[in-house]
Amino acid sequence: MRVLVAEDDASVAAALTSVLTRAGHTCARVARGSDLLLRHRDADVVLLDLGLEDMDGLDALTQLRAVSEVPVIVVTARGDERSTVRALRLGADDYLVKPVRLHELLARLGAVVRRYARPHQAERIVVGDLAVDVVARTVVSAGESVTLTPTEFGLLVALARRSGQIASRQQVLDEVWGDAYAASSRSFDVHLAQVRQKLPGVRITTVRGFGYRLEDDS
Amino acid sequence: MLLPLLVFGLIAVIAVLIPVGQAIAQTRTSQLALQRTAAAEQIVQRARTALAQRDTAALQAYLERFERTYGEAVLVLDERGDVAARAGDLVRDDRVDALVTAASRTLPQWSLPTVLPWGGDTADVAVPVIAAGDLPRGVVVLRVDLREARTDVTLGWLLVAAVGGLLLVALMAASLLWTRWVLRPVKALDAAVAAVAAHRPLESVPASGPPELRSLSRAFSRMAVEVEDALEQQRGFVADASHQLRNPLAAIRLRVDALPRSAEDAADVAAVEQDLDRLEHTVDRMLVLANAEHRVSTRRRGPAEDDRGRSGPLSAADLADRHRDRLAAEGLTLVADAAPVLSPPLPRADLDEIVDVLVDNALRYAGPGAQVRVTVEPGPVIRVDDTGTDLREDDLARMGTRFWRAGRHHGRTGTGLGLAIVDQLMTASGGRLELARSPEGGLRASLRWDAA
Repeated sequence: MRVLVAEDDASVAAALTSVLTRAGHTCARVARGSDLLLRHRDADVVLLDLGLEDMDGLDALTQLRAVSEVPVIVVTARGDERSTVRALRLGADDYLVKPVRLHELLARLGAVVRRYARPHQAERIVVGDLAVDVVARTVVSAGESVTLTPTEFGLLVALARRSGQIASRQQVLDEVWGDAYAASSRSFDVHLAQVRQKLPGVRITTVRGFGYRLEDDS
Repeated sequence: MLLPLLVFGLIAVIAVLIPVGQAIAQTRTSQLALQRTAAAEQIVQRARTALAQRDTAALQAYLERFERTYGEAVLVLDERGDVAARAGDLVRDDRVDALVTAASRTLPQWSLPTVLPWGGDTADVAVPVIAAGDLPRGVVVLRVDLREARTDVTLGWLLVAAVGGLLLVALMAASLLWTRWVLRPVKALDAAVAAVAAHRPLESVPASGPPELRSLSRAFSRMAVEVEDALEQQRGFVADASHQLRNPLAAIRLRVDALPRSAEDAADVAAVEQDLDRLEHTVDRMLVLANAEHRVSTRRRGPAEDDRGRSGPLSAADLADRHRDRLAAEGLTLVADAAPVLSPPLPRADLDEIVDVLVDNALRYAGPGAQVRVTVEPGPVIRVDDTGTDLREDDLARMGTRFWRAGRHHGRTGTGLGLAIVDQLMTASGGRLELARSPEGGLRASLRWDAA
């Protein structure tokens, strides 16, 4: 299992990495919330400390949950009820107070991951007369093949996977650029315009304040 | 404070008023004497003429006119002491005779008494009628009417008394204002000292009143703020320290858990784990204590009512029954009745924590074979008694001091924080913990709340 340890205390991080590696997991460590938001896609589960170098763990959790449903176990020194409730409400899957016993940690890791079913990634998406083959990276719209750049393709896939639903700007940015909170907004708008221009048959509605929706007319 | 002030004011005002009153009476009396001397002089002149000519008819007529005009009786005697003329009801009696005798020695008897409001209506004066050669020819006795003068004096005195009263009131008002001004900072300081003693939030002491008190107020405010800061830091320190300990503890715990266990290392690892357990336990208890202390300071700062509410009605058995098996396993018996039922003013979780600590202590120090009795009484009072045998007086005095444990039990796993936690939780709920020797032999811990 790939575990991402978000922990500002070096010795705790080292201990966690060491014991988890010994238990057969692959471990990566970040100390900053911004790094967590960049690297969460490589992890099957995140161990999150509530005190991070650049932000509060709960804020990091909120931002992470806006773009990803990766299982998160909060491991923290804060044992009060308020923090526990807030963390769980904000989307943590489990809450452990330091010091944590190893076997309990491993068991909880297993349990959380077991409950979390990784969303099935369809290899071929069909919306109305638009067909996207994710593996072959081809797009067919109204029977005609369309050529897209890699970024445009990623953007289309991100929207098409949620056809009929709203995809937030952060979700799309996270999936395509790998950073939901970076300043790539302008480039996002340019690429979205390109997609709209190349695929006139596909309706992508802007929902102000929420995100974008690829209309499913079928 | 008001009464002595009143007395002093009164004395001062009276000391001023009495001479003024006296002066008024004396002035009026001498004014009257002057008037009557002039009138008497007229009579004396006429009497001299009449007595010389031995014709008193004109004198008699004058006297009657005089009596009608002034309402004062007059008696004129000749040198033999016989009545030569008279007007009004002036009768010769001993007093008049004495006056006459004195006056006939050519001494005018102008002894008008000082006119006082409670004095008589009249006063008699006698003037000798002196002919040529300083020989007394007779005596004129005049009964002077004092009533008008008396009224004047009375009115004058009333006026003075009224002015005095006003003065007194003004004096009182002024001194009240002044004392209040002086005492206001003292009262504020008094309240502030009480607030600091009770660790309530301190409103700033107003710097008013005399300069000495102002500077005292300022000094006190500075001191109070510093004391409060120091306390706050101390409270914060416990929380921060135990918090900071958790990270290294977590790291050690994880690594120890992951240590490979070989047969020869097992004992060492077990010992490390045991110490680690103890360390974790102590850190936990320190956080519980810091939390309780935080609640105490919140309570002192905020409204008196702890918003965490109170536990539902419960009996001694409800409180202690969950420890029965644990006590029995160590050879102790638990006595806890199912009645009466009371509702102590603190949350159930705190109450359980408190009873845990007290029962743990009994378990640890009373020893096997002892009896632990939990009682609940109206008040509400909750008591935990044990029949332990080796409670010493100096133990009793030091009990509740942080990290202190009865010396001969250091081997046990106690943190020495239990009673401190109980104490803080009780304070946070507005109650108190009292430790005493139990009539049953061991320790009696009483949890007491004043009836709301």
